[in-house]
Amino acid sequence: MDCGRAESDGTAERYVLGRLTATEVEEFESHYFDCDECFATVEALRAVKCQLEKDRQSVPQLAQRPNPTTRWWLALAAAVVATSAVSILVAWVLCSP
Amino acid sequence: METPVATAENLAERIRAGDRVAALEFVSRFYRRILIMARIRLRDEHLAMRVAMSATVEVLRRLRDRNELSQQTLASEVLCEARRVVDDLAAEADDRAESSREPLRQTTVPDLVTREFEHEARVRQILDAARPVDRAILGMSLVEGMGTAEIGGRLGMRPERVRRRKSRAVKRLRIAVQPLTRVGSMDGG
Repeated sequence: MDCGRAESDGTAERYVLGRLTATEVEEFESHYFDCDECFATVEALRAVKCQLEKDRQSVPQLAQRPNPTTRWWLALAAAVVATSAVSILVAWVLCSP
Repeated sequence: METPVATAENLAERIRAGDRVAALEFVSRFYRRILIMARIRLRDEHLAMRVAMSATVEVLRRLRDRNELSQQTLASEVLCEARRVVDDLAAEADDRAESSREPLRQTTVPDLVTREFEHEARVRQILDAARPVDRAILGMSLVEGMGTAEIGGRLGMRPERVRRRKSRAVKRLRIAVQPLTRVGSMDGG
């Protein structure tokens, strides 16, 4: 195991997520016990995971934010509704005695 | 920059010679590594912290009491011992949890606890300053366990862009967290 391989394989992230095999765990632990860079990555990932789990509330809100295409359709729908409402209002005012 | 192997060998010798400063250097260098390993293996934050403290002291004691130097590096020796101790203590904790709520062997290292809080506060600060999209990517990736394609689908981004953003965010976090990881390490702190 070396830093390059660990980075390209996303080993630190999979380690933090518990997705490495037993052999990979042994291999990666042997590496980061002697490597400051990879240990810092593991520390950062684990700490962030921990913090984000604590305020999990913010994640679903952001995750469910509509994508740009959806937002465009929502804007169009809102514009149509607004235009219709204004038209009805104008028609009602003009037609009223 | 120091040569890690030379420093580690030197540290092992000093520990065996009864140098108290060397023992503190050892704790500063390896406690967090053992803690991370315990957290990943035990999946129990509270237990991992107690086990890591006990394991660090236990590994230090075993290293100090051993007469002959292994051909392995200090890091390998520590990892090997730490795995054994974490497994033993975790089993011990399981037994105790079944019978009573009696705590594990009391090992208080207040400085390490303080440092842990500082570390958490720093990460909190960095996350608060991060862009919402980066926080979302990190959350979906590390909390929800999603892949880049799935995250891209949710956020309306290409997977490659998600991968790049995540990589940059992790790098920024690593750079910010690293000085804390190194606090009081080999250079004496």
